[in-house]
Amino acid sequence: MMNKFTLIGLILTGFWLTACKTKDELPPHRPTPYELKTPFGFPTKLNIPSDNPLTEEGVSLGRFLFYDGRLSGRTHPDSLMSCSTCHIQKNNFEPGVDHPVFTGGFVHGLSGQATTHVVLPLVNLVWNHSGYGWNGFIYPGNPRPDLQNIEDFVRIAVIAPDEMNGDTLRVKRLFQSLKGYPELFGKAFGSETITFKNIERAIAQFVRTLVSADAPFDRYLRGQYQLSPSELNGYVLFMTEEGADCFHCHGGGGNPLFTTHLFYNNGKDSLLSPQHDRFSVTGDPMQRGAYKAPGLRNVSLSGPYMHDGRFATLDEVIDFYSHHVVSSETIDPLMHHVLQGGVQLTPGQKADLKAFLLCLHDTVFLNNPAHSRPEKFPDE
Amino acid sequence: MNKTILCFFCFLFLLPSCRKNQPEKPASIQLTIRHSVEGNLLVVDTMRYVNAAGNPFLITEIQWFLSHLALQKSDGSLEPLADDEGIYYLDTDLSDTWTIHSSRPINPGVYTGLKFVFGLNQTDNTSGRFVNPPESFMFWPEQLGGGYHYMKLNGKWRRPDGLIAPFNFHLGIGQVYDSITDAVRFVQNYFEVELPCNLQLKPEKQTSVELEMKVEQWFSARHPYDFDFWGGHIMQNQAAMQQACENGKYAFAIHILNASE
Repeated sequence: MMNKFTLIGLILTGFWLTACKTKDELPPHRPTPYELKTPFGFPTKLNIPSDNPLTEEGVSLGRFLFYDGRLSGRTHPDSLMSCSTCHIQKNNFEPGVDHPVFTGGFVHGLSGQATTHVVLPLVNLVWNHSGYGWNGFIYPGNPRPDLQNIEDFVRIAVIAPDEMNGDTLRVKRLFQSLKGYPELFGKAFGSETITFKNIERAIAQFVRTLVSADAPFDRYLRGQYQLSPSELNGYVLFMTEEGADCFHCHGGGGNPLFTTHLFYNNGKDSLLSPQHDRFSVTGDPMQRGAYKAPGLRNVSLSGPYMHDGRFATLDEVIDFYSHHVVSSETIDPLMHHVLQGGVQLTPGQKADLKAFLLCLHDTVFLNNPAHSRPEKFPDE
Repeated sequence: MNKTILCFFCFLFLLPSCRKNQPEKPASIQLTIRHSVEGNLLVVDTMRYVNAAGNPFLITEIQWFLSHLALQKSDGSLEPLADDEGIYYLDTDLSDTWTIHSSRPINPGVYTGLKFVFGLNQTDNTSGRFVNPPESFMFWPEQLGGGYHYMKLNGKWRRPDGLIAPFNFHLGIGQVYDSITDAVRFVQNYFEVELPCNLQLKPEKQTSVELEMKVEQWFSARHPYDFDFWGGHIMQNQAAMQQACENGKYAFAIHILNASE
């Protein structure tokens, strides 16, 4: 006959076993892989870290966070700020020169402090392997593990005094308290406990899906669009050394990203005293005054131009490269027209070059609902 | 028992004959690329060189393609280092491009030369071939013949007036123009390089060889290349590219670093 202690022991063991079984039976976290199609002529090598693959759930969550002003960690209407405060879809994910708050497209953070450089577009960044920011201070392979990829840019944007001036702990606590968000984090990352790391991951995933590849020039490459005579002439100018010679730094038919994502001193100044140039990252004195060659997709919306926003219009930029390039010790050899002051385009050539540049205007991308502000946030 | 003894002797006879028919185990080769000026390792970014035309100059970077890399036997037959076209991108800024390993088994034996194409031949040089950087950044505009730069050699030179001028010594498909804007014919400027050597590759051994690009030869071997005359860019100047390529044929040397033992 079974004594009392044996019976209790058996019951407890039964409970314990059942508990273990329940834990084991938790469904494995299997988010849906996000299929990022490689557009015609684009690189096949993507900058997607192995610990943050694109998933439908992650991208969807990232889109909410990208647009949610509470990413600043605050809820007062005056203190809201998110990525989309400066990166506005209709303006090529830049502020735009007509921004109602950031006059001329020069942005400042919640504290009022101006950013060091003007905003770069968030376009086709999944193909950037060379470094993010005007000087590429965030790059894959950086010995500093906290400055390697788009994920790190999210954190910097949240805490930087000239951006959201926030605090990661406060941000994650706030989102944890917002109805609907923990569930979305659970779907995306397998845990409803929100970590700032997963906030970074989700936004980075969304940013990696911002692909512009349907401009008239893309259609021209695919044989679906005929460039006008002026656009075609502009294309020839863009692609030739005897013309405007843009292609070495800004790509073209063979590099439809329209950037190398590399860093050049393009002859803006004869005296170099910048504090946040490429030299500040690499320590290579030959890179003094060098900054990223930004992508030219939707370039008509990219003003103000250059790292310091010195040019308000595309016409000013073309004028600069045509007549006002100046020499310095570290000027990039690709600026081989420097001693003539530039490539010396005629007014007609300038118009043609501009016509071609406008062929990089991708209205499909600028209006893509998948990239737009969500109609409602999860707690609404 | 007698049958067993007979089988044993047959087996003994067969063994050596099997051994004879076995193919020799392959060899391998490692090629290290070295960019030099006057025999010394290239030093970038300092105005320390003077070319045959008397131009003081500096080099900032060299990016180039070589293809169809193969060892040559005395009978002229070739032993390619790769199964495909064997296209290699080399870049003075990217150290991982400085070493090439044979990617297919190499037949052991005596080789009398190394042969390759500088740049890409007409068949290989098709636009869109490379979509990923850094190779894709070498694209050569369609308007100028398409495909890829064979080489971008960038730098600066000091002009007689003392001003420092940048140059892009870029080689690729040339054009013949009827006017300044209309190319009527394209010119394939790639060329083959044959470097005599005496190389004995042994089975299961790796041999290390250095391929030297003697940078100064681009500006001196056959024609003194004058930056003051040709200017800072030559992609649309076939005469300059032709001179450069005629010089370039003499810009390479091979050195055996360690023969297989």
